[in-house]
Amino acid sequence: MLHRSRFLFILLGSAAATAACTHPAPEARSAAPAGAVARSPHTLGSSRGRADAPAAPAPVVRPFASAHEGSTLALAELDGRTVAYVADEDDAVIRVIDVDDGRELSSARVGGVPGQLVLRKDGKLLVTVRDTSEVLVFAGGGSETSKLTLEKRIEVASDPVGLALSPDEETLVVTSGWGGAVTVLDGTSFAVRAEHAVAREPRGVVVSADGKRAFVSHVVGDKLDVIALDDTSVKKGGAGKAKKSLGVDGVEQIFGRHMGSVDQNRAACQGFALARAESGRVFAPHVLVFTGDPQENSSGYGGGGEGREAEVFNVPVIDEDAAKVLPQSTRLAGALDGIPGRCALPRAATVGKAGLFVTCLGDDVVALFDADAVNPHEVALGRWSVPSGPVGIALDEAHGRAIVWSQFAHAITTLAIGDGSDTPRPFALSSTTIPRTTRASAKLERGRALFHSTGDDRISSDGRACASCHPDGRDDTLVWSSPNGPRQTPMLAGRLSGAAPYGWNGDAADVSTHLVQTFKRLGGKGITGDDKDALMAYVGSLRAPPARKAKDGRSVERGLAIFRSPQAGCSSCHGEGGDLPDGVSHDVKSRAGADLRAKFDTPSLRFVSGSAPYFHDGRYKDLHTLLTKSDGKMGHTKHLAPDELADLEAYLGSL
Amino acid sequence: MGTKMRASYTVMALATLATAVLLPSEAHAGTTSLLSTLAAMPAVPAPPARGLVTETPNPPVAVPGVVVKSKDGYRDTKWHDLHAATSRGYCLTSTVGGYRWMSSWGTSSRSAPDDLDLDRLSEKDGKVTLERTRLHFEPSDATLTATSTAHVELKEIARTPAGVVVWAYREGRDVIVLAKNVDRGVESRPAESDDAMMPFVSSEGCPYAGARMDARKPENGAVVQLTGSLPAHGTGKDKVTPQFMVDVSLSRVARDPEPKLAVRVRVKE
Repeated sequence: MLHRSRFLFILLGSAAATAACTHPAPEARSAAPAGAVARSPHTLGSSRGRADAPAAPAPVVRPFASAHEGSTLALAELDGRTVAYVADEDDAVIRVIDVDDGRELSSARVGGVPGQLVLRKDGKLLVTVRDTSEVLVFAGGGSETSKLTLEKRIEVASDPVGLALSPDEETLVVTSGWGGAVTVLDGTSFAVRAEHAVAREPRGVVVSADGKRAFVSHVVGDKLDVIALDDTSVKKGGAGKAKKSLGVDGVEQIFGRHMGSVDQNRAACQGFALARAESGRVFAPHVLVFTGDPQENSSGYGGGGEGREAEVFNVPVIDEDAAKVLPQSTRLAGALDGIPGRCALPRAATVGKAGLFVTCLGDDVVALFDADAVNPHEVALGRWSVPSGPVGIALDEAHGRAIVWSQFAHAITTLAIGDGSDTPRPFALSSTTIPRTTRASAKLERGRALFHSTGDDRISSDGRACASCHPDGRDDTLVWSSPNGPRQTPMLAGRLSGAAPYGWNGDAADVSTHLVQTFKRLGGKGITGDDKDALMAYVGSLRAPPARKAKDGRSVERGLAIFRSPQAGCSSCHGEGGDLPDGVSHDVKSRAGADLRAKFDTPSLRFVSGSAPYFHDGRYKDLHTLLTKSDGKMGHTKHLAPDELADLEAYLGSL
Repeated sequence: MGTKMRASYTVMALATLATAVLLPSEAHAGTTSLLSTLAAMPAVPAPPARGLVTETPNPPVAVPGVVVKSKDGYRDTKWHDLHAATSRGYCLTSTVGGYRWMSSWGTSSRSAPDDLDLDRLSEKDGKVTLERTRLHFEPSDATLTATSTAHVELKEIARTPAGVVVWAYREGRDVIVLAKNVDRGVESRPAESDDAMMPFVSSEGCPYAGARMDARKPENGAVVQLTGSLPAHGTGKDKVTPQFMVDVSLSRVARDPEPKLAVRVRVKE
């Protein structure tokens, strides 16, 4: 008997709470006509301040306390005004916006896609740039009269996104998603102290109050890393004793008809964010999924059924000082009346007096949870609908408000969050659309919204979105049960072009056909017309990961030669370079018990080194295992000496 | 402003945003209490082992707060019902499986003797007390005996303007969370317990009910939940029966000097 009767305290759609608007009247901000978007080219690091402004003293920047923790949005007091620094992914700029009147004070291009930003107490702004694999340091504040000026570039591992400063600013920690690394830098000189190799897609990071350890979440996988920051013995690519991992996978308690209970494990995904409270608790909002038993055939992707949610929102709570997960926080109590799964695609989080705020990209909501509870995910306290694509949030508690950045709608939203006391307060809400610098394609925007939209019954019957299994357009590393057998989620970003046919069995001649088949397996009604075109256009435009820097170029060259050699036989199916598969299905002796067929389509090897595990059933955990264990079934590697095998791996890593 | 960029700040009026929020008329109330602030119920002597002769007063003395009513049953048996005086705060309780809070309890004259508790929630001079009387019932002759009593002063751990009041006390390894007007709930019981598969609390005519929370390892965390209904207000179409939910969790991180009990009460109109 399941008792998830959904005690729905909070409903969306009422105008009851909209009476108290904290914003000035619209006319105060609409002196200029809408749509007059400036398109003046601006150089990296320059600012669009008032061109004829007189020289002025450097502005006084007072970052809010939370500005030490990376987000797409950071708050500060700038010359007496509350401003938001926004990492605008679409326009590849940092924007400085007056929170009170919605005016953009200035902006600065960063030469790539900004990930997150933090502010030092001296007003310096640190920004990760994903596609150039750098951290940029800006000074100047960013007021109309004081431009943001680029002071320094710091090279870090591929695809840096998250970053955090220690409280004393002695240490800066950067997570590199595609690079699978956590870089520890001196917070002042920005010299690299250590670079830790970690599991795939590290993302959210917070530093403990004593500055001695960093907690790192992963977009995929069920681990959360604890990095010792005072250990400088770890050099590039190492790990040693400076890192330990905490399990954040979940257990769901399920009650049967005869009142007995069983525990069902759930895999973790969507660990984009972390937040820490002064109470010594670190919160790791993510999603728990049930992949089903890959050894059995299921009707869709994953087990589901029996009233179980396909995806359940969960917030593991970590004891910051003990570096341990509170076990109850990873347990989904089946008997509780809660609001399970009520934050789809969590992306950003922060903690205040009122509780834990999480932005939910999948349903365009900011949700508030009880930060004192050991099971915050089951104690939902509030919910605000916000413009599309909420990816950043910061609190201005002195003014009882939260500021939210919605990337898709390109909007800044102010939520009235009260003062955290027990007394309920009416909530007010206002929003300002920020003009875009680059003209966005309506089709791509629509496609992006569809890709991240949960609860669309055209896509799935259980609410899953494309982004549920393909976070960032990549893959969730999971192997799902399916009608055809076990199926590992393939990576999409940068990997579709020239890779036809699609699907592990190569059943779909093109992406469009594969979409139709996938939605059908998910129980969706199917998407047609403009929406289908938009979704396909977006999927085709997904940003490929940045290239990984080869450690040894000559090793890569030797690896290519091996790859192309008749003895190894790689290129006969994967193409001369590995990125042009033959489009044919082969039996590589990988048929699993639940597989209906033995032949599998040759996949593209583009970005192969970052998409472990391998094969349709994820049987090989890494490239080395794949190359050695698949000998004779798919190419030949037995004859290769260890250094030759390393060369081949190096080449595959360069793809 | 003067720049082209500032020309197009579009303010979305609240009404056109479609981004409104509806909160319940009373959203939520929360408190955090330290475990050491809870009073402990004195240990009540264990019930006599089954089959042992229980020494009972002769003639039996009436137990305040409960009456026994008997009627003819099937084939020369009697059916006995014990009725608690719920209007005076009495309830019968059983902890076999999930915690049951009952206004009455019945058994056959052919059944084995039973032990159960009679609890009384009383409020006097600003103090709220739970009194526990352990009962022994002999079905063969319908004798009811009070074998021991204990009481504990309850600590109020949450109160909402709508009238939801939550109390707590300690008993052995557990924290017991109690509220009025509870319909059902979920307990947190240790995994090795035989009744771990039955974590449900039920209230059957009792004006209050509580749930047990295993407090032995607060560093692991523990949760309980109680749900119930408040008295209806309004008439006709406007009649509303507010529902409430009490979530309580016990936890302790290294920075906490002692375990904390976090309570959150949410009310839905």
